[in-house]
Amino acid sequence: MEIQHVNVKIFAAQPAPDDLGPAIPVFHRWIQDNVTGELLIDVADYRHVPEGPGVMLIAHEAHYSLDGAGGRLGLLYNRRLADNGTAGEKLRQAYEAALAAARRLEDEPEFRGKLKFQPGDVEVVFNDRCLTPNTAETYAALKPELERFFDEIWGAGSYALEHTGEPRDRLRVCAAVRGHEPQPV
Amino acid sequence: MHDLGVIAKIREADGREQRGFEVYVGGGLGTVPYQAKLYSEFLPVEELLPLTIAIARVFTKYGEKRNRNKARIKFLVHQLGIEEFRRRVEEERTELPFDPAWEQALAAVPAYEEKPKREAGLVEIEPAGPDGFAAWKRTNVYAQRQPGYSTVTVALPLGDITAPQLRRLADIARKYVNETVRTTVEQNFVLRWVSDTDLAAVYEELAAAHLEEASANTIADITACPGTDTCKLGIASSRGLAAELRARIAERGAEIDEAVRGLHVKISGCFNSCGQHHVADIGFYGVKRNKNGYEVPHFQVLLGGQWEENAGAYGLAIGAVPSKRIPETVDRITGRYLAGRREGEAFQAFIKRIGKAACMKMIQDLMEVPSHDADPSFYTDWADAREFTVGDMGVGECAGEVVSPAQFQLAACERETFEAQLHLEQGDAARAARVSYEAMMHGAQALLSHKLGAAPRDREQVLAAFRTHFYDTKLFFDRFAQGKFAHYYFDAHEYNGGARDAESARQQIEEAQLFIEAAHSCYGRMLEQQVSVI
Repeated sequence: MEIQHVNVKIFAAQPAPDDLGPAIPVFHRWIQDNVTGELLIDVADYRHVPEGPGVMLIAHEAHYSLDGAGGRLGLLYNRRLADNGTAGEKLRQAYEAALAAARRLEDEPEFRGKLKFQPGDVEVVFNDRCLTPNTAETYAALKPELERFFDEIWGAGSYALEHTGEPRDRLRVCAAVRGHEPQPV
Repeated sequence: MHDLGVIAKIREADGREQRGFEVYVGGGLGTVPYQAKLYSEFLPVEELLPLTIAIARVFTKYGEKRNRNKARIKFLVHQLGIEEFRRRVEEERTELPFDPAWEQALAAVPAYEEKPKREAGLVEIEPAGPDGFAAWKRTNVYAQRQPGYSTVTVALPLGDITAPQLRRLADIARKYVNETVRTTVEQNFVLRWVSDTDLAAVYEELAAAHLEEASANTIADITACPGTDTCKLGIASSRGLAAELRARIAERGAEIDEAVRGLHVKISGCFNSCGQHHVADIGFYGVKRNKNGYEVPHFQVLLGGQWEENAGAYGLAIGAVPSKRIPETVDRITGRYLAGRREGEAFQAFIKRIGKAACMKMIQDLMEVPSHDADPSFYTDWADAREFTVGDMGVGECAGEVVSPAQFQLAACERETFEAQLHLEQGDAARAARVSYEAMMHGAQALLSHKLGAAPRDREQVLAAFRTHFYDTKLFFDRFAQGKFAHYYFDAHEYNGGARDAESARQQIEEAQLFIEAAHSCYGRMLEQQVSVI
């Protein structure tokens, strides 16, 4: 099945920091040092929006953000450009980019010891309603691809997948390694 | 404050009730704000469309075509005077052939009438409501003239809302108000025809979507344009400042005095008025200043504008304060108002009474910029870790205009001539003359920057370069006036700092305006000839 614009959000462990302000200089440094090798453009501050995009690193290929949607903080990789390859390759690219950014954030002096991500607790959003409408049929068609991917990285039977969100939302799937299921905020 | 504004009115004529409008024309904000002029105290409703067409036709015939910065009705009304403008419109109106669409359009109006979805809520005993409901109701709800119905404002922080919130709001609109939601110029949403018995339920559903902020029409409900976030004309971070002010106001919450709570704060990232800073009690627009070779983000402070009465008065600039000192500036101004106001005195009346000089004195010490070594934080903008620069300025997004850096600088010069007029009104002829001279010099710099890629800063060098590249080459020459406008600048340079009386200062201001007009024309010619090296 053709997929594009894959978003991967890796959730933060609790307690997560309340103040995301330190992400602003961190993301600016990423731009200046070109740490991701992508075309990074600017930083946008949406901390004033409840359960909003938080602090965003605006980029050409994909936005990165410390996202608070759904009341759960996480590192969101939001792929903007269409990509080549199989569905599995696109899932892997988005997950690995999100994981690399999450690791990098954890290591930044502003967040060291204060922010920890759980690579086994993620949300995948398909940000393309034409290719992947949010229906049970689409999920059923995609599920084997998702299982193949998560089997590879976490091991078969070690995790749970769930088609979440409301029908008007984009297709949204939560994947969590058993024992890493969502924690109360 | 609009090109054309109408206020609904009903009058008695021959024992009959007649519907119509009070009509204003030629208003506008922008770099230099113009107050709309009263065109007609009463215009019968059936005349609204033909009059609008006649006004548009007059503007098409006589309005500015070449200089886009002047292509607004406000300039035409100002140039002709309202009497002559009215005469031409009436002349045009008599020539308009009758169009049945004028009446058909009126016949269609009732179809747009909003109707309530729910029964009127005639509440006799006010229920306590959920937590936070009373505070929200005080600021975000007002009673409609129809008994039992209210209008609810959904206050959005900086006008931002997420997709899930929008879906929840749509659900609320479907459930309570016939699927009708309005946007406001204060960057909020409004739900009309909410039954009073539903208010608590609406509040709870808004709260579930984090849309219950009790700040509508208060000092925390700050309007800000995109500023440096996305607009290439943005000089300073209007959204960053707005977020900072909001956070500080929210911290104080109930401590804020009622007299201050009702003030309006509006912020633009540059002097184009997308944030409508002219019509705020406390307005700001972004500017920059240089300190020892470093650029420092500032906001010009405007006081005394009036949001009420359809933008009844425009605020006046009192000085530029470093961006990082704006929160302190707001505290200073509001504190002074609370301490010094007379009983029942509104903010605007207070500012008018104490005068512009006292206002300026009130914040003068805050205008100082510490050196870069002493406090580098002044050299960064809000929510931005980088050292401040305007090097990335380019084409802006405001009001659909496409404005180049040179046009932008020339617009700044227009604002300076406006400021010179204000100084003259205050009896400071010397300052008026100096500011109008600087407006011309900055106009020369704008042209030099466009032609050469950069302009000198020293006054003598600016003059010399301008003479070499624009006067000697006749590039600046008007087809008819030749080098006359350039001589205004040369003369002002020669007499700069000399003794001035009101009359000579006024003449120089007029000359500065003509010089800037000529600079706009010259810029247009350069574009045509593609002289620019940029």
